[in-house]
Amino acid sequence: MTKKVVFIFWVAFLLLPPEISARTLVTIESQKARLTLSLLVRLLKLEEHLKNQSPLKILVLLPRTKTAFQDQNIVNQTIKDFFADKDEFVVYWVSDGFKAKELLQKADFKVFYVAGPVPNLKELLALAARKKILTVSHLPELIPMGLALSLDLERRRACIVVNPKIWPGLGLKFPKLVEEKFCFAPTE
Amino acid sequence: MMSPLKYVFNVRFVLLTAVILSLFITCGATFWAAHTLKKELLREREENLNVLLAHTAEVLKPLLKFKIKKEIQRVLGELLRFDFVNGARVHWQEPSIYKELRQLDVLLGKDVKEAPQEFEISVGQLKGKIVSYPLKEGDETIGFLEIAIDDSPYQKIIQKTVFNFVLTGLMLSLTLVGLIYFYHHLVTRPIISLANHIESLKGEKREDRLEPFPAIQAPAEIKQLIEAFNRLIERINQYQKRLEGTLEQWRLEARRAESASRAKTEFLANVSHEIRTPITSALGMVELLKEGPLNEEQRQLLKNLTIALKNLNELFNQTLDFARYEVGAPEIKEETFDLKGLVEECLALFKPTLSRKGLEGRLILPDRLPLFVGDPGKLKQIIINLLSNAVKFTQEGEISLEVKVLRKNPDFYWTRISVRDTGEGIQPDQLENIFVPFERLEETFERPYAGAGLGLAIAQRLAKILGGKLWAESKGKGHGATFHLEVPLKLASSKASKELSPKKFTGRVLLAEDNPVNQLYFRKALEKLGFEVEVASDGFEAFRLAREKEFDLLLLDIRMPGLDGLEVTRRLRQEGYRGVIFALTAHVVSDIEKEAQQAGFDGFLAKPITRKELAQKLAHWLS
Repeated sequence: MTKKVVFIFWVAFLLLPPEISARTLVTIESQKARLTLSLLVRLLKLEEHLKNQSPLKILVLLPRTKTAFQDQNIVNQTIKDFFADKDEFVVYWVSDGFKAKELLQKADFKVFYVAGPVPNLKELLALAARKKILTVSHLPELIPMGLALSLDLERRRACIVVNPKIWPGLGLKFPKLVEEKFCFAPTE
Repeated sequence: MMSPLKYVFNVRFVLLTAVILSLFITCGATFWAAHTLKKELLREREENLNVLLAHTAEVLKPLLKFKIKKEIQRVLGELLRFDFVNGARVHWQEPSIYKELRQLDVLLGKDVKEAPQEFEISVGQLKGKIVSYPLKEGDETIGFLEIAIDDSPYQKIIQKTVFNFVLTGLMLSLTLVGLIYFYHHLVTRPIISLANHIESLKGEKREDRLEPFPAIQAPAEIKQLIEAFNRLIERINQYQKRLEGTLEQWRLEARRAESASRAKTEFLANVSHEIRTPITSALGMVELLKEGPLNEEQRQLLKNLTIALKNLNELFNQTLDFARYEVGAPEIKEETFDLKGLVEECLALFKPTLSRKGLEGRLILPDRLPLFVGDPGKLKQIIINLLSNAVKFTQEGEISLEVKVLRKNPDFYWTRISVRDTGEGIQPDQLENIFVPFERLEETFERPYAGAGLGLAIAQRLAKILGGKLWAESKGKGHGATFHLEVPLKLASSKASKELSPKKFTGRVLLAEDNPVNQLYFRKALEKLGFEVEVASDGFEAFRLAREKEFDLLLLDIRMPGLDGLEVTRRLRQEGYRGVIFALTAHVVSDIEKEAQQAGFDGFLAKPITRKELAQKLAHWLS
């Protein structure tokens, strides 16, 4: 038994990346973010009201706290890289929750992408909901906090998760085939 | 002496066996260990591989789901760090999210090409045994992880293990051989040396002092053994020393006894000579008297005198024979004799006694009896003994002497001579005892028979010497007794039969005899036989005459003044004399007869001798 434990640790040690570089590494979270953004782009192009608006204003919250895990940096960099060649979007980058609140209140954003949690996230999500801004994140666990749309990739079959409380108030209209792919997550 | 003691077991054989056994055990242990090790290694590798595959699969699954190919490649590459992994490959289906995205692209009107539904990433070389592990998402298999196994590291481990085992086995074998050699050197060799030393002691002369075993380098136990052995040798030496003292004393006693025996023999020889010489003379004179004109009564008296003298001579011979029996078996003479005449003579010897006691003597003989060759003296001695015994114990009736031929062949006659009397008889349970010498005889005879003294015991002994047997039969007291003598008698040749009869001889005889009476007798007897006789009175004269003149026969007395007969003969033979020389002596001691033969005598004539006997003896040589 002991030998097996030692062996597993050894295997784990070997399999773990020896060093993590934001520029070179592709993590699961960053891949989730990429896939979520890919989905978002397609959904925006299929939504009845938004598909003709261009450029579309998007606020992206990229938390950058000192305690942030290195993975977050990779996610942030992935998101930046994703929007780098997307001319149809006007992206506003914000890393502070209060700044984000201020921007949400002042500007007319159609989409608010949350790359990571911040202390006033719940407040920000509620504010966005009130202003009928589509809130999106690659973190489906934020749905109960008031996030409108996410992509649950942890399931056996990937699923577009929507918040049943928030979603109807946004007034978004998608083709039937798309809506059939939505799954509604329990909120509370 | 025995050859040195060989090793009980061959040490080389033991060493060889030990080496072979060690090698066999080493090989067996090596193969067993290699097999077990391989089995265990493979089992452990199997287990480790399963764990490795399971964990790798768990690590790979999210990476596959999100198609993080670079990371997948890195993880697979890490597997190559295991020695037994040649290469790895992962094969998986496209995650469902991409399908979803393509469907949305279709809705957007994009020209979506049929993207590959399956992916594959491999690292290293997929050589060797391929182990496949399914990648499952719930019940659904989303792909496979395959690993190519390389057995060479295990083979190397096994080879190294086998080498170590063989090396260890060889070292053990060498150690074992060394131990056996040292055991042989320290224990076996000292014991073998001790055994060889004991064997060598057996070959030493009895008077030699036994040598102790020298001190050697050996273990304490062997040294104790050697010390104990040396103490034993010391005690044997002491015992031998005492024994030698005793033996020396015994030798001294033996020399004294030998000296006494020699004195007795010399005494017997002297007595024999001194008694037999006058008897010879007396017999010779009687023979000469017989030649003169005698009336019947005088002739009968001379006959009786002759018989008495012969009997006296015979008894004296018996006494000497008995003396010789004490020393050893007497020699058997081979002389031609007439059995009929012999038994008649025996019976005639007792005729005066029979007449005096009023007994009838009867002789029963077969119709025809040939001449035989044997020892008539001993045969006669037996018959006389039996007859004297019968006469002694018979007061009335008769004594018969019967000769019967039991069976015969061309060379031998099995003859039974029975002496039957009508005397007191013997109890059947005493029939065996009467042949026991001394004590039994004392009980049987009121007094010893004059002359022989040992009677039936001597007779039975003589019968055995002649190759026959003697036994007695009696129905008990008052029924008389019969003594049977059965002897094989050798038939005499026709030539001997002719020689037996006295005949006329021709030739010159030198008679050397110092006794004038014997000189006269032998001269007359030889002249009667037809010889021309020349007489020498001593040895010197005889030697001189023999050299100067030619004789057909030299008849030399052994005991003569000057040169004795032995010396005369010895000198003549040394000078190359080839004529016939006869010894003439009253000595009847066998040693003198042997000495006479060695000196070169052709024959031996014991005095007294009748003219008839003389003729018979000479006939053999001069006919």
